[in-house]
Amino acid sequence: MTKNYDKLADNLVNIDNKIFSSKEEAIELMKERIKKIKMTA
Amino acid sequence: MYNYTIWFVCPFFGHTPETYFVHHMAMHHVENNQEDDASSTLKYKRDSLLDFLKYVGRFLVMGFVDTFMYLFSRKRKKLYMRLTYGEISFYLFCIAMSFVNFHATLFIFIIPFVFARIVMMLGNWAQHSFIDKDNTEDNFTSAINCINTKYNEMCWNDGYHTVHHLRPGMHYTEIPGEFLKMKDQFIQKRLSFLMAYITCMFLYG
Repeated sequence: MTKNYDKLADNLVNIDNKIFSSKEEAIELMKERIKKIKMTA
Repeated sequence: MYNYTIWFVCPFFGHTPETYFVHHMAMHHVENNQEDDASSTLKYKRDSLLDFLKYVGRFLVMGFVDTFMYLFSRKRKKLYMRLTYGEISFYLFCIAMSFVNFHATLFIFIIPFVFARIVMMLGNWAQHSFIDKDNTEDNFTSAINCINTKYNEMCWNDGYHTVHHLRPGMHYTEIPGEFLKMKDQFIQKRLSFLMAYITCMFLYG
């Protein structure tokens, strides 16, 4: 909620370097996954 | 022993009798944070303080009613009755004790009750912050995992939240081993958010 994605990304564990290729990509993915989700069903 | 803990000990720690089990096991673990979950985070922007306040406010005011309606609509009478008499008896007890000593009741029961509900929602908010919109039902992409943190030592490995949802009955000492077995799935599902070295819940907060 402090939107401190930089610090969050520093503490992500990138298992075997296979989950994301760069810090920027991790931040982008985090920002995508905190958005509101409207269910259609 | 069960009744002693639930009905006598829990209210001193802000938990109304019977309600935690009903909400957590009979509702939250059934729905896994989906739309029908009374404490679902889906419809909120999960890095917004305003949305967090709406989320907590909703739960404080309507959490009991939402959980009751969830169980009532599914005809789970035994559970919604447990929820109701546990919650209502706590309210009645607090009202009665307020006439005896309002300040003592406020500090011993009412403030811990409000505090516990806020903290529980803060936990749920953090644990279900990062969700893949195309795969909301997958516990790998709807829950985070905090590893290598003091939080796990203090809270029975609660940080391994994906494992907690996949294996709710598993003893907490077995959770880290189970987590390691799932390593490849975490890579495959991308970003189940393994947080190291920090207590992520409080970083969010």
